[in-house]
Amino acid sequence: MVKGSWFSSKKPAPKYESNEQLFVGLQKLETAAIVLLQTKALPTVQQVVKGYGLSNVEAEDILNRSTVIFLQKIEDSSYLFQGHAPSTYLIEIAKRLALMATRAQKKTAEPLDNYEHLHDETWETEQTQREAAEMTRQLLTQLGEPCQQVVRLHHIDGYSDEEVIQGKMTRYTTTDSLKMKRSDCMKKLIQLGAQWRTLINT
Amino acid sequence: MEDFNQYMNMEDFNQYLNNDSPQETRDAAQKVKEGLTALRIEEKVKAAAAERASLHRKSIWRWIFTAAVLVVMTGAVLLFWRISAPKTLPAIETTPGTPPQQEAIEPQPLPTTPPPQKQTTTPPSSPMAQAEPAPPRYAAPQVMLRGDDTNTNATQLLLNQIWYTDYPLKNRSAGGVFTESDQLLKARNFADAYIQLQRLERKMPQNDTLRYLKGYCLMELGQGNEALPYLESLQGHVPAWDAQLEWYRGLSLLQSGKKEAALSLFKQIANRGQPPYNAFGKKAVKILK
Repeated sequence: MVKGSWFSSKKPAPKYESNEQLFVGLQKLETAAIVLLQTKALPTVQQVVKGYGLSNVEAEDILNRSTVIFLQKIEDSSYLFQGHAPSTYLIEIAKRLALMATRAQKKTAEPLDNYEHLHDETWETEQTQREAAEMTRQLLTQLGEPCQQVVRLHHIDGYSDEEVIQGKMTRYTTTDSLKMKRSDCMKKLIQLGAQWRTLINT
Repeated sequence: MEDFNQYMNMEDFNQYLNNDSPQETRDAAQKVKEGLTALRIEEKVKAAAAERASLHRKSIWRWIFTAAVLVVMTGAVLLFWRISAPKTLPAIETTPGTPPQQEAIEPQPLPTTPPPQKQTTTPPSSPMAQAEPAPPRYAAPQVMLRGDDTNTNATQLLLNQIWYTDYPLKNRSAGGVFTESDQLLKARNFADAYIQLQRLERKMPQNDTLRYLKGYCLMELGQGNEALPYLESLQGHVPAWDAQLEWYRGLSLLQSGKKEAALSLFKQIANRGQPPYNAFGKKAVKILK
């Protein structure tokens, strides 16, 4: 039995015993890896956030936002694994977000220059990620059913075609019919995306 | 679920594009890919947050459960301790005169004890039957042996372990001249009872009941040496009294520091005494040896 596991929610997943294993898990967007990352970072993030006069609820929000940014950086390869604990970088992002949140509430006069090296990246990554997510969310809504569901199951929820068929998650009973439908739906989605870009640019 | 990344490369997305697709469509495909990735990351972080919240709740419930178990266990231990404390604590430290083993002895009614109705009408001057013994509730009185503190302490320790007395007129209603002293003795007000008995003794010095009550009173006052002449003078007068008298004589001998004589008497009680005094005698012998 792992020492202290009875009272602690910080039970380490044996799958991620090293930083590298954890990083690989994060690359694959494995829920257990994300939980472990956040659990490791949470006490420090709470401390930092408290230091800035923010609440625990805000600490939770900042932790989740930081995680999204961090995973986005892993996804677009702007964060490369160099042997350090991934939680260290997550904490740095969280500090930055906490400072920005504090300044928004005018609770501190600490200059943002102290975090200049993180400022642009953090801000831009979050904005880009949010805009892309919002655009796609709206495009999916426009796409309607059953396309929205077919695309979501595969590209967002990450189910394989076999899992979708076996789990009877859609009306399609074969993987071929499902793939064919998804191909049509994706083409429509890209067309809607092109129209969206045209609309934005004009 | 399969590895997400294998679905999210541009090669995969190219299958949705024609060879002659304009750059605008290709850019849109790139943007859609990024958007789906962003949505997937958001969903995953939400799932992780929910998982952490669930773990946190479980952790809290574990704490509550553990605390509840500890509270129940502590309560059970305290209850057990409270119930068993008088039996397990040494008599000398808590309730002097009430040894733990003594409580365990279940006193048996004497065969010669008359029915209670009959007892209530019996005048105090008539022979007193052995009162129905009950578990002792009172401590041994303080003894004082002249000029020997060590011996006094040792005697007190012994008495504390074997002390058992019962009022001779228990379950009876003494009338006439004994009414007041009877009430005082029942209330264990031995000092006032002694004064009352002293007054009566002047009027009726040879009365058996008076002598028995005075002997008993002196013994309860810790004056074993003074109690002995009264108790000894009655031995054999009334057979129904003898068992209790013998026991009280033993206690009085011990109070007055005559340990050997007391032991000898306790041996006799143990060997041929009536219940419950034979049981007390055996215990006393065991302790005094």
